[in-house]
Amino acid sequence: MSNDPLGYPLSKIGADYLRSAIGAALCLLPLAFGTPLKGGVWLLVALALMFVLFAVRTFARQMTRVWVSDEGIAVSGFIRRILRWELLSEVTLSYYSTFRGRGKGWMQLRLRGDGQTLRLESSLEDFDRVARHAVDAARRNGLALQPSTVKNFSAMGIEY
Amino acid sequence: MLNYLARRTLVMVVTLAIISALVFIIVNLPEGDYLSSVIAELESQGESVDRQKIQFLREQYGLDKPLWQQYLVWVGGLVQGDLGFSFELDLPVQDVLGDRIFLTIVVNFFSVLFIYIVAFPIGVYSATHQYSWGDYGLTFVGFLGLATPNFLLALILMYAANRFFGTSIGTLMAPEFLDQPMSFGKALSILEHLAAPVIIIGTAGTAGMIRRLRANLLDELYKQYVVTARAKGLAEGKLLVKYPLRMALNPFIADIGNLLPQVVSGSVIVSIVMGLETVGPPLVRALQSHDFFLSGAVLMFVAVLTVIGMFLSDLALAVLDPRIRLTGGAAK
Repeated sequence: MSNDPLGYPLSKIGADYLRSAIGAALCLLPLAFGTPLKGGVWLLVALALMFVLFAVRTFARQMTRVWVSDEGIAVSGFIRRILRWELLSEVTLSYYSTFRGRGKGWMQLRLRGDGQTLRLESSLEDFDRVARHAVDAARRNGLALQPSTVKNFSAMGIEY
Repeated sequence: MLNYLARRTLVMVVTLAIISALVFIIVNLPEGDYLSSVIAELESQGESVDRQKIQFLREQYGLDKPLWQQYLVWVGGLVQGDLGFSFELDLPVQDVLGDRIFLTIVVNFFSVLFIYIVAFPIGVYSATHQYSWGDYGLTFVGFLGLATPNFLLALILMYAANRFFGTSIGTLMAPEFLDQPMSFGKALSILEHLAAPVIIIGTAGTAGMIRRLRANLLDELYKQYVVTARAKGLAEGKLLVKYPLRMALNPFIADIGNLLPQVVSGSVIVSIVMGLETVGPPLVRALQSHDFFLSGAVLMFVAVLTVIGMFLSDLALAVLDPRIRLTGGAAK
């Protein structure tokens, strides 16, 4: 494995902390004004908990370090995982956007193999390099990729 | 998925907060409030006013407070399920709307279902039989549906039903079930009366959906992978279902987001024309009489229905469709 770990820089995931804070604050606002816990307020509390969970997940990503090399990929953080490229059995690259025009979205690379799943998002430093390694490994292992995954790689300038 | 869920939920919560503020501002734009109007009207007629009750209502619903505090009181009540008090009808809004909220959801749900059930086979047929007599005929009917306003279609059908069949297609249930609690007989009566309003509300949406599905499917049918699959000897039906139809379905699912506001707002006007027991007629009456809590509650209900519908459609799309990044679209 290479010695230079990749991470999710605060400049890229800072907005997610902000989203969590705004979301939780908006949902808990009625409670701050003394609204009793009944009816739809419970739903707002549940949504606030989801935003807290999102903040925890963002923190977990901030703590995550990724090592990638010609041999495989290793992820450390709350959970440690190592996947050797030769054991890679499935690669999926999805694109998500909350905008109907589908701009301003983000990608998620899902790698499966050796009984484990690794999920990496495009806010990761040097995400393109990780994606290229995954495509090379998929090609070596003769994996069939979904058409949407192939198109998403193609949009990144990586042909399969 | 949590990332997507959190971001999309935030958009939804912010949208609803903005809508609630806009609804509050717009409904309060006319000078004064309902209680002031009633007092002035009664006093001008020389009638006595129960000032204690008026004061009680003012205090309970915060009408004696600054506007921003009134807004917080109103929103606080809404999230707890307290929709306020209809001053005009002298009843809690919940009692005024009663079954109407449920019936509005039923009418809109079946309208969307009707649109999908009718548009899907027609759209597929039109695309697979391009420039045939069937395609031309259905295209003509589609354009007719797009060009005819729902309320006009309602008036035409009501006239035709009355003139030629001597029957009325208005209302959502038989007269004996009006203001009665829900029962098996009432549910059956609602289902019997649903057909006309659902067809009327769904016509324009169906026509639009047919055009979109036809266009999407035609795009796919002329792609090289279809030619390749056909050259390899794949049966036409299997080829259609397995590849191009699946690809053409994504915009079909995504379109529910565009469809819902159209159906919900269209159903309000149709409900007034047909005298349906949905939230449409009380909304118009409340807006005319400046009955803030009733009109605000109905507008928020319509907004929530639309925003949640769009949220669910986006979630379904995110789960079903591994989205494709558009070339040039910026990924974070």
